[in-house]
Amino acid sequence: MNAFEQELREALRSAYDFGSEYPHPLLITRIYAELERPVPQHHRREWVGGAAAAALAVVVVVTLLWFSFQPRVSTPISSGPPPSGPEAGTAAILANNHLVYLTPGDIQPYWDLALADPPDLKVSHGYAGLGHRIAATPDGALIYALPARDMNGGSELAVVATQSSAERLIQLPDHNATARYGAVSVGPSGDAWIVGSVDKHIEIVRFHRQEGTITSWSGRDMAHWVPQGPVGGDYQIYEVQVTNDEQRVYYSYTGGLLSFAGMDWVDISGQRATTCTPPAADQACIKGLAGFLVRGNDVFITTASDQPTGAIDQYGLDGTLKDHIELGLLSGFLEDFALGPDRNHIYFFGSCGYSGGMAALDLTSRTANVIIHAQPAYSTLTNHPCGQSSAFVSDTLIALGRVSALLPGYGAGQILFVDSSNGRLVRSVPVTSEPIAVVAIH
Amino acid sequence: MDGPSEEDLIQSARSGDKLAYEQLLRPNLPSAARLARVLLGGPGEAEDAVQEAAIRGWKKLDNLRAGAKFQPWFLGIVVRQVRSIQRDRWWTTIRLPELSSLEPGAQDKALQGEDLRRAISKLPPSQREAVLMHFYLDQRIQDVATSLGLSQAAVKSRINRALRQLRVSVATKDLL
Repeated sequence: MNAFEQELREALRSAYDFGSEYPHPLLITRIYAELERPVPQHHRREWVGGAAAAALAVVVVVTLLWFSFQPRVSTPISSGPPPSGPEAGTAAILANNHLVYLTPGDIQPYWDLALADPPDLKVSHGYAGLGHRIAATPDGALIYALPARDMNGGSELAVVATQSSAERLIQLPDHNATARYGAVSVGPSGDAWIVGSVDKHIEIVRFHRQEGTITSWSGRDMAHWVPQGPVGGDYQIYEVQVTNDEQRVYYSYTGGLLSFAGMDWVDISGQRATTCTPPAADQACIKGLAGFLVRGNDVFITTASDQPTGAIDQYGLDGTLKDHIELGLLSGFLEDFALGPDRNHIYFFGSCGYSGGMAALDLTSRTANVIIHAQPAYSTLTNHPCGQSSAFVSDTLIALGRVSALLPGYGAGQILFVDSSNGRLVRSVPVTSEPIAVVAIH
Repeated sequence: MDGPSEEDLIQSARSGDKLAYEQLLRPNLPSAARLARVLLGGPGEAEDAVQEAAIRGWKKLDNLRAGAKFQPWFLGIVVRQVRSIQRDRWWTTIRLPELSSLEPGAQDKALQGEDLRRAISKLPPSQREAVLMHFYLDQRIQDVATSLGLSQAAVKSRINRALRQLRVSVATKDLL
């Protein structure tokens, strides 16, 4: 062996020094337990064997008891057959940074995965949800999630296999430890598009699913946005959507400076990201509150101008306000909505902390239909659908993250399944913490 | 020699003695896990691969030729399991060391290790496996050949090609 080979041998030992504790001392126990298993099954890492097996059994029993003693608030508002059409799975990210997955018809999570430590819930805008976000690939195989460090989001992307819950945490660009990513979406390619704030400018990130690589672009400078008041924090990226050709990325942001909030977009061309031109340096290209939908050349966006009732604005992409549509609900920061399967109706739920209620908007006729009337002090009612984030999981069934007060909390939460035609609560699924964002897994 | 020989353990394991199989596995798990971890990148995924390989090995013990050594045979199963995972996998990640948290001298070492890891990762899989088994796990060429199902000449050829590429990829004067 020559000197180079000897040096290579030593360098390899140094480069791949995993310490004396690797592999895990229980690996042999785990293998032996697998050999003893009567029916071959595929599981994630499970330290079964000896005390670990006993501990696992205790956890299972306690979990089952916990679920069995959870208060059931799923008393149907009206009886009747279940909504038609096959149901998709549902995933939700909870306030405590757990990710849960429900198979169709589940009455408890199929799996519950802790992605990160719970975030700091003390600082908020006073009305907005936290920076947890979630999206699923078109084939339903993967869930992308952004666990939150605080109200503005986090700096890691969790990529989770839907069936097995195998996960990877990927560090997103984080210069000077200032990054807060608050929105994730998926393009037709299955790649994740993430938008955040880094050093006071917008950062757009594409996670390439096949290659496992990340591309990022620096976007608009947001230095004009000054954190407001003791609970104001900074601006919060709320939502991102990408066009079918994945060349344009729309994103919205919100926060204490509501007059600055709204939606921008960037056009991606190679290494260049060109931001839309706003009417003024401190204005958004499209003024709005949070959730939005781009439909042709029109943008439907939630609005802070929701007096006397909850409302939505329709803009052209040139920034022209085309319509201000009253939804017939009471005011109270309607932030989000779900696009119906016909792609012509969007469905709103009032915040449980404000006035609740449910309405549908026909995007073509721009007429709203109140399905459940809003009521003041709605939060005292527990058997009616209310919340923020929602998604259609079948032709007629909406999964809704119920947040019981103005802001999400660590207390036990529920994912509600609501019949979109009449607002009937079909079932509810208890989860360990309040659900911040939900998505359908097709 | 204390205890049963490897051949005895193999014979007992073939007849269904799981404890004998465990005795065969135990001394080989560190090498198997280290190899899987280098090839796959993550500790959990590597241990999963070794676990799966161990179960496959149990089911295929009859394929182990009489008189053949257990370790090269088992490492071969590990390598095939790793390849299977790599085929199914859609992304990889390379975690960089936190340089700011290291002492100045240690920073150089970390950089060297990182550069070498990058160079190794750029090798074709067949060359990477051969190099790691021979130089990292200290496997003899004939054992590497057994594990990879190749002739010794083929293994030597792959290693030589890999070394040529490593010399180019890595500034050997500075890094090795």
